[in-house]
Amino acid sequence: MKLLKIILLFIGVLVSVSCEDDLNPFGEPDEKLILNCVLGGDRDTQIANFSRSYYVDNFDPYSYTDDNVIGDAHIRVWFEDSVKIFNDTIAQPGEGSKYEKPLKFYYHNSFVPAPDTDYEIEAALPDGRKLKSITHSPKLVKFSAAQSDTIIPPLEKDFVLIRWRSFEETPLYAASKFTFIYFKRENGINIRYVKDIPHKYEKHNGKNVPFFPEPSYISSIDVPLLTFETALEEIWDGVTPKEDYTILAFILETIIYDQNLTSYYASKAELEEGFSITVNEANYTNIEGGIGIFGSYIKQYRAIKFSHDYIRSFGYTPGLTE
Amino acid sequence: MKKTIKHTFVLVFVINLLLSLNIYSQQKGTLRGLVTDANNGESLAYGNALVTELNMGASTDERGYFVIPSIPANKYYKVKISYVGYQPKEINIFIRPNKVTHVDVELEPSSFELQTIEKVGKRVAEKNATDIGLQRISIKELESLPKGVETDIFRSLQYVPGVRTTGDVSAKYYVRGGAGDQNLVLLNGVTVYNPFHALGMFSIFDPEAINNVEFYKGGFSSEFGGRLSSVLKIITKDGNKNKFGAKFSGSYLTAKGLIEGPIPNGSFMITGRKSYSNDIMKKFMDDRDVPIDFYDASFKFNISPSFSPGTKIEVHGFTSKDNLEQNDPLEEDYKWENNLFAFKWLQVGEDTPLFFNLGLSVSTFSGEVIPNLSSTRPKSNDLTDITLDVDFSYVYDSKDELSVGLQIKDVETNLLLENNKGIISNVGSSGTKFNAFVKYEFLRFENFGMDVGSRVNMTFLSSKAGSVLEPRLNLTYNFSPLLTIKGAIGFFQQDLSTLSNEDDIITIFEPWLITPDYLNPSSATHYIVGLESHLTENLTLKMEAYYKDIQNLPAVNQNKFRASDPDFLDGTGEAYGWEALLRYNNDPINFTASYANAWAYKEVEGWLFYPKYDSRHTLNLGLEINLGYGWQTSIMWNFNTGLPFTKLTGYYDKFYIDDYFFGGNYFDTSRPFTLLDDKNLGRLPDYHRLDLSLTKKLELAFMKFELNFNIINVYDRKNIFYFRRDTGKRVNMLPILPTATIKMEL
Repeated sequence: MKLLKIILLFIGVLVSVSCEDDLNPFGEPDEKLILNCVLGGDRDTQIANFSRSYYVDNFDPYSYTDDNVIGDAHIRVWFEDSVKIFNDTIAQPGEGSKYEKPLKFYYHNSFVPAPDTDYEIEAALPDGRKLKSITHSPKLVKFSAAQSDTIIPPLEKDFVLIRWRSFEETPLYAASKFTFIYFKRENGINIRYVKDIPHKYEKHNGKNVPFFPEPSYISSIDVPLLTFETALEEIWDGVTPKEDYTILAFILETIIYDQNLTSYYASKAELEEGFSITVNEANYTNIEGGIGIFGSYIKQYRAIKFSHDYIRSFGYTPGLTE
Repeated sequence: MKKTIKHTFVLVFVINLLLSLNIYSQQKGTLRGLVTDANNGESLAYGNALVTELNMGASTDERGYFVIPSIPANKYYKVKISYVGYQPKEINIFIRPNKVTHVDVELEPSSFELQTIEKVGKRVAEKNATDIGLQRISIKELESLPKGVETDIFRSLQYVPGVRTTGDVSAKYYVRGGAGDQNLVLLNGVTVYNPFHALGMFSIFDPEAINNVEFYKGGFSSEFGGRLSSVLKIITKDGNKNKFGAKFSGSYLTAKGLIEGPIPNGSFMITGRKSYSNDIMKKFMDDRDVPIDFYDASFKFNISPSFSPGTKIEVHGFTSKDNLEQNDPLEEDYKWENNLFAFKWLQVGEDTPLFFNLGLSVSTFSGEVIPNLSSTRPKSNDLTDITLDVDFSYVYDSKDELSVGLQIKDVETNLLLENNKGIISNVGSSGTKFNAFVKYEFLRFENFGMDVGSRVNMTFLSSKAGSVLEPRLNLTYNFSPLLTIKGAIGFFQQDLSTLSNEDDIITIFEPWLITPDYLNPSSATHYIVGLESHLTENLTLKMEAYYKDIQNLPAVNQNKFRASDPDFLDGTGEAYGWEALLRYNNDPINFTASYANAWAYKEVEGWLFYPKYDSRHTLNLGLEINLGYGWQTSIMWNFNTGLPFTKLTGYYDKFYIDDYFFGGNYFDTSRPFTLLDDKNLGRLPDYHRLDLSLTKKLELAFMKFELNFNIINVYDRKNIFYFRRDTGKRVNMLPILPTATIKMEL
């Protein structure tokens, strides 16, 4: 009986102290400077973003809506014997952004990075602090005529294959997709549209779900003809006569990422499966004096001919000469 | 190779020198016994035998054998055999000169469980035992383990001082600052590589099938190799040698069965367990649905041919499989399995105290991540281990014991990954390890024991060779009944490890890899000192202090961004601490208190940090009371100070290139990303939990029943498991959870 009393007393004490202990997961705030700039070879306006880290003590970083952009910096990009000085401007945040006020960013609107070129970025603050990084834009790839299909649909095959050759010493990530351009006659006017063709479709809950290839080291793309057919059928709205659809061209878009962006994607690829509980996400940064990413990519296009009979088999009008 | 021959020569020389020290006596004889359960013939490990007149004794080994040499011959002696939970037995034996007198002893189980523990012989037998760091769990202790959701041998290890887990959710354990893959798990002497079910929540071993367990926390002797931290040696039952029987039991999670019975000159046992409900699993995973289906099955056949006295041949097998199928093409699936098949030949010398073991085994592990249409990358890992073991042990008249053995281990690993190359690539390898061990136990002095030996590595699994010798030394000196001092020092190597990120709270895919050629095999040196005191007849205190130095510790490369970056980095580790274990046994009360004060560090690329299982203070209290009439209750309380975690120091808007065709603007593709403090500098709140268990055993007609009712986390302590940095959501471990199991025995 005495033992029972002792046990009950012990449990009673435990129950009284069993409330949830508070946890303070926050360490000392540590301000970091963040510089992001990806030079795109498919556009003439390049954008850089320069900001500082922020601190909230409520676990909800979306509750921080103050402007954290560093607005009085000098951002320059050097290459060969030239320099591009970025200007600052403001833009409205996109829909769904946590920021409500216009945000400042840096840009240069006549700058198309060339392939196979060294670039160096420098962001300098008035207090003398500087962030730096370098990148080397990828070399152009060469599409293989001998190993690629040249017409859609290919002869005696049920998929479309395009291969290319890289001239890089270190493999780089690439991503590619097929698109087709078409006109749709609406109220007597031809409206231009672009339709992406995924790598494949899978049925999910009775609907076609498109899957696009992830960036990878693979230097080819092959897409089943069935996927082309599904994409071609998807553009019909069910009302407009099919002959009012004019298919103009099939295009392959291929993006080649530089070494920095390749590493960025590789770090994302290491994200674990859904049942692993990971608390530290891999984070690739390559900015000296801060964090962020400076990288570049080039985009190449290749048109593929198509058979007019193939287009007509869908009821559409082929647009260009065969 | 020249060096190896030289080392082997030195060893042989030392052994010869040791042998020459043996005292030769012509008028003495040796008593050897095999102690078994009278009801089922199962061997009883860790029992005691005492020649009362001479006050000479010995403990039974894991096979149930004891050997008492150097007994003056040509005379009858009374020998008392005792074992926890069994009625002691006294027999008269005539000791023949210069011969081995063999006796088979059958003990009757006590009329009710956990009867008074018979102490006779125990202290005599253990006076000079070189057993520092060793925890033994006998067949009777297994029966009284806390049941929880599912009785689990691994979960029970967490009550051993020096053993840590990272929470209620995982049965994975860490020993004295070592990583999880540094623990060797042996089932009947065969390595099991992934001994876990259901994301590591439970072990794959059914306690019903286990005869005894030996757990070495460090400083283990030279018969064990290939791991840096600990050895868990599990011996399964042989099966009832006298009659056919069956046991069935069910919990909230699984249903299981066991059938056993005699066969000509032997016995067999077949077990099976299958999960049937996932409801309880949600409690472990924050109410998340975990669609896991798992099973395991084992068999063991053994025969002792009548035409070959002293021979025992065993064939045993084991399989376990887990499937996690989400039945959604957009979600990934997982599966992993272990398979094991082994043949064992034990030969006991007919007229000589010689034991010979030959074992041939195949152990495989495979795990796979099947991505379906999810963005998860496909991965698969398989490992095949084929091992041949031969070992001898001989007990001299002086009581000294010599053991030598040879092991040939061929391991092949395959790890198929897609993520690094965009195509499937295999980063596995294979290797064959030739290694031997020699161990000499000085047990001739009543108050002093020494175990000296070494492993001799002729080749390694990895292409980079480590040290040829792995010397081990274990000492015991008994000053008085009140004080025994013990110590151990040893060098250990490991060239097979898992590629798992230690920062993961739960890792579902942990592939095994042979140490790659750019790293050296990892090694550790253990230094252990301890004392043992039998303060009273019922009260025992054990204390141990240890220091462990780990070199060439493979650490997962957290910054592997390129295909050419290595998967592992070279790290180091250090662990030290002290532990105390207090036991009070006085029927009907059994009280255990254990405390550990420990420090563990790791260093990778110049960064020193606490590993995730580093806890400064651990206290476990356990009380078992036999209430009589088949009722038994136990109370377990576990406390440990907080585990490390990495604090966050702020956020920044990370630029996510989600659309690789780069259609968006910067502000749409930026999302908050956490900035972290130095690794593992923070501490989670302290953990404590109280579990209650009540068991009733009863017999109805020809059936025996055992009903067990448990309450896990009686006072509903909100022990934190982790918090999500992205949402700040706190995820706690098990809430208050009543569970029940029922067992039926025919």
